[in-house]
Amino acid sequence: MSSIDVSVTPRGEVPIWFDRGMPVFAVLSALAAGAIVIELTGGETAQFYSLMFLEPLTRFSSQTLVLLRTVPLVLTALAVYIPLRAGLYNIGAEGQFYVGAITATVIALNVSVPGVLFIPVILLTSALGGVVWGSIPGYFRARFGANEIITSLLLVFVATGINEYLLTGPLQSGAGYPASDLIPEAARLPVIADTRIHIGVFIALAVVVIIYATIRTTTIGFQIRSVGANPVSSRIQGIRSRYVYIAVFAIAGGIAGLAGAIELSTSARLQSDISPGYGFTAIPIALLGRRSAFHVLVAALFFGLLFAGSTGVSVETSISPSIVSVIEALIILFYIVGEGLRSYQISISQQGGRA
Amino acid sequence: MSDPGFLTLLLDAAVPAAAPLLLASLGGIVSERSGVVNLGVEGIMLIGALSGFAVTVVTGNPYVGLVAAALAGLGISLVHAVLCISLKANQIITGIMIFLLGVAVTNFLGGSWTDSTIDGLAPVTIPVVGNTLTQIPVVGPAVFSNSVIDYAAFLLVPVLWYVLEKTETGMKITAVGDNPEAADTMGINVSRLRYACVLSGGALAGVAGAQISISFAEVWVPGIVAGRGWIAVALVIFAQWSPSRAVLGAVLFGGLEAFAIRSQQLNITRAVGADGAAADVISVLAEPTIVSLYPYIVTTIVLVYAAARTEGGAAPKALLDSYVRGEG
Amino acid sequence: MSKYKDTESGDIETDSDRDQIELRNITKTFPGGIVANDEISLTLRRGNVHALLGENGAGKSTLMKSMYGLYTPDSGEIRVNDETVDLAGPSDAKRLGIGMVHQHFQLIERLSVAENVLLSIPDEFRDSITDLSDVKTQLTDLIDQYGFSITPTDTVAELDVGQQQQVEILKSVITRSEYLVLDEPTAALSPSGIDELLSTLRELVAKGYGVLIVTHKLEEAMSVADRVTVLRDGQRIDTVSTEETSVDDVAEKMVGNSIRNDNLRTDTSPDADSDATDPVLRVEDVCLRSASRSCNLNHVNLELYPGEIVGLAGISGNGRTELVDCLTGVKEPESGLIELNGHDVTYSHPGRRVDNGMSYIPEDRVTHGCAPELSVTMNIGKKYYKLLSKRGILNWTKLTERARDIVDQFDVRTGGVDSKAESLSGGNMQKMIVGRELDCDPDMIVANNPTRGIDISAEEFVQQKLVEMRQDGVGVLFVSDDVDEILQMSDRILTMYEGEITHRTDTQSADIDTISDCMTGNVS
Repeated sequence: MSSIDVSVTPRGEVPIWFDRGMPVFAVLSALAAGAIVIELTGGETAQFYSLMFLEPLTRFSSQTLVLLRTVPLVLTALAVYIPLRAGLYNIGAEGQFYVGAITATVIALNVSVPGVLFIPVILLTSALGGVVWGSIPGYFRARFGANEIITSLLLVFVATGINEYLLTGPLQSGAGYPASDLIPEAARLPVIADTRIHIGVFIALAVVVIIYATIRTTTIGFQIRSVGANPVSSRIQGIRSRYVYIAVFAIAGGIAGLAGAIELSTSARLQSDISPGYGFTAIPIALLGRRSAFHVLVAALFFGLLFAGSTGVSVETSISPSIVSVIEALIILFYIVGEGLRSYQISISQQGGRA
Repeated sequence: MSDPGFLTLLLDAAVPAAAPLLLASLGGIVSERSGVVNLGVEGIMLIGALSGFAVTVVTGNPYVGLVAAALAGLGISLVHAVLCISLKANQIITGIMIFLLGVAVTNFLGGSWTDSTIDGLAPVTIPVVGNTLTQIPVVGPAVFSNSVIDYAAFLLVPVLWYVLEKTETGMKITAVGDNPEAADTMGINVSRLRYACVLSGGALAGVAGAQISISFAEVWVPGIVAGRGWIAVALVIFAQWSPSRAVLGAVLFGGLEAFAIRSQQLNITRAVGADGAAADVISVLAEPTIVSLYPYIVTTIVLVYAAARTEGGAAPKALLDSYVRGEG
Repeated sequence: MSKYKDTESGDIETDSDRDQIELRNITKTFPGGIVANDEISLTLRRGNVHALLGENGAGKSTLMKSMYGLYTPDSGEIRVNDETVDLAGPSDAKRLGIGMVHQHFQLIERLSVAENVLLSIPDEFRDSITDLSDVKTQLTDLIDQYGFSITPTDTVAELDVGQQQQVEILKSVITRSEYLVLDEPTAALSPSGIDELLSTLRELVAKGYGVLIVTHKLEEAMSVADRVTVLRDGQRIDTVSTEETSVDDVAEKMVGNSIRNDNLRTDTSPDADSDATDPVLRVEDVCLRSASRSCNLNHVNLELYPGEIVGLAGISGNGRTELVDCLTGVKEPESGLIELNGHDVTYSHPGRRVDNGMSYIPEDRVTHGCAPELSVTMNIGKKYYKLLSKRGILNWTKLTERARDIVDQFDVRTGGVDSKAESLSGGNMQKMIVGRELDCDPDMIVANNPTRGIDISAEEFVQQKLVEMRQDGVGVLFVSDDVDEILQMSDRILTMYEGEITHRTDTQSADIDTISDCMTGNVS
């Protein structure tokens, strides 16, 4: 019997272009694979990709949409990115986002705060809601060693379930579908001139800069990087990883909660699908941008483009917009393949089998 | 309880609700005992649920659907196996990818199947004595009137226990899951065995998904698995990698789910006899949408409890480790 | 090819080539250009004990792994029973009758003795041994023959080190191997365990086995082997018959011309003052009951004063690691008191020990000592980032300066402080860690095997630096596998056996035989 022999040996030096080019490789491969999927399901690949990437860039309304989509994406992606730097996986950003959106809605509809303070109060309380929600998996991990991946994900179901309950119960409006009342004008983020672009764009940019600076130049950032690289040795050298674990999840929850509050200004009311899966798309974004918060921003812009483009796609073709999430998953797939090629030398040879 | 038949109904619903959790967590146990975590169970179950359903619609035969689901689960877990075992990829990231891929693919391809109807797997009783057995009060219908796949799920438990604990294959799985280097020096083909375990686990997860779409619910909607895959991943830890304890967990969570379904027929607030503020709280907690969240909350609590209680003695020692010969 | 010929070792072959393993000119180079084996030849005959002797890093393990199919040599030839063979894996070696007892036992602890043995039996032998009950029957026989102290149904996790070694030997014996390779077989054994092993080896040779023991222990090699092959720096120095040579002769071959300083301390020790000052570290009645097989600590007491080096000797598995773990906060003791500069830190996080002046050089530099994928600056910075920050903001300029300073001062060869720690060689990585731990002005240092696995110059450098710390009034707890090193370095020596400190002595009045006896429990 002859067999295919695949030998995998650790690679020594990695060329720098390979290292840096890997995310691009992942994206291009995923788009190529996506094209195959589209062809197989009877779609027009060329039309699809031009609708996806060219159209949004040519019309101002679409460019606006790209920016508005990028805001929740970059924020939830940072909520994945920060724990990732500490070696933890937050796949519950979606839930933290919902908690932020719910908090913002409740405050916006029920509390009256004078003028200029209204919006800061809403943003702050919803971030706080996210902090509380996000800290749960972090605390359970730090204190009991409970797997943060599973707990953060399970809490997504709880958060969206509570949202569902509120929208069909206490917060229900007369909209005829599960949604809250429109939030008052005073509770919405101010927009720039006559566009739909609100100041959430700048808030998101500010958060990117703050997180970048936090990771690079603060003691907590130093601790996060250190624990992420080697939790055992960090502990021995005196870094308290438990606090780091709780802190990264608290920060993550806060940012995702903030994203929820900002998104409420975009959609004007709480709906059961206020997030089309931002918190999950955040995962490939954070992986592609794991080098720094600015890399996260770049990756988020790309996905913002994908999201905006998919709207046009669903209008003008028969291709389901959920192709976008297929491409997302494929990007992670090729990212993993790229990582494998980066770390290991793989050679395949045919050889006579041994008895 | 106000309704005399409630317990009977609850148990009757608990068994089919437990079956997919049981199948998926048994699959997880097989995979993890060999040292490979598969966090993508939810995604694999979705793929199994859709492919099983679609094939049943096309062929009209739910058994063909089950086979298709097993193959689909096997196929998608092959991706996990190639990446984690051959490419030595990070098992966690790969698992999350499989989860997202499963969700995405079934959303993308599943839209058109939501209107289809099927004749799913009907409950069957044991020949000759079956009808008598189902007359047994309270537990009769629950235990002796189920679909074939539900019986199979529970019968798989002793089978799997025997294979893992008593056969040489089981010993080898323990070996590669605990100490792949030693297993390699003993002449065991670490990769091949891990492939086999990941693929069997994937096939079981696929069948678990199909149980939901062609036996339990007899319908397909995107996201139908609704976190059961993640609960199954948690159950593996709760069960401490032992098939027999997985039954306990699956029945517990199946019961919880059944309770969520059946509780709609109860007026819990009145049953408890509370009034005032307490009544308000209870009535919120008894809302069907809220009750349906209990499995997730209880799973979280149970997971924390299991983590706090154990020091990982039962966990396969080489879990998450890719094995590269000559390293370390 | 002629059947009888001169081998590399110069012996005239008298035995039949059919009953021997011959390694010819084996060369193995690792990435990074390290030549682990340079044209090494060796012949192992049946009915003989052959010792492969050399210091750590001499290339013994590499050669042994080539012989067992775990490595493929770059060049050279392996001949078994007069046939050239190509060993692609351990199963090939097994089929050819080569059995192996690894230093780190290759056992599945969760499984029983019989199950472990069953799994290791190659397919070719599965005609005669088909299932677990066959294995049990045969094992019962063999255990009896060799006088082992285990039963086939014991779970491996519950066996002691010597018994686990017996399982390893049984794995080879049951398939009627002709050759048995043992890697550092006495490293973890108690004296009675060693006696038992030696009698087992004699039994094996009598049954016609060719036995190769791989060891760095000279006396042991000389006492059990018929012939000894000495390796140094990847090269074969000589192969000699033990009857025709002396221990001194072999010793010189083993270490080359490097003669070690007898005592590194320039004896200006402030010993006399030790009553006046308080100990920097006080350990009182520390007990630890640990899970599974690792050692318990039984009422350990010790005091470490400023300006002294206290050596901690002991064979691994006797509580040294556990004690160090408790002192440094990696593990929590069950009871007792650990006081650092007068502060009770018994149950504190390692961070509080750092704050109170403890530095720690861990045994395993890659997993415990540093984060290989981070830069040198960050690895060094772990000890300094807090000092060099204001209100939570790091001062990177100062941090980088500090790292450069330490790199210079401790002679760490790097591609710059921004390069990753993993790019450093073992010795340089160790110097980086030592620099980090020493330059922060500690009151005391726990150094656990700080010179293990590094080259001679780095070793001397590290030793020198620790002695300098002592001169500066720092207390050093020096843990080492190497008793000679402990004797060289220490003012006082403590010896651990089975979780207790069984012997305490000043180095001046120390007697190496007594210490060795105490280490192995050979004392009443």
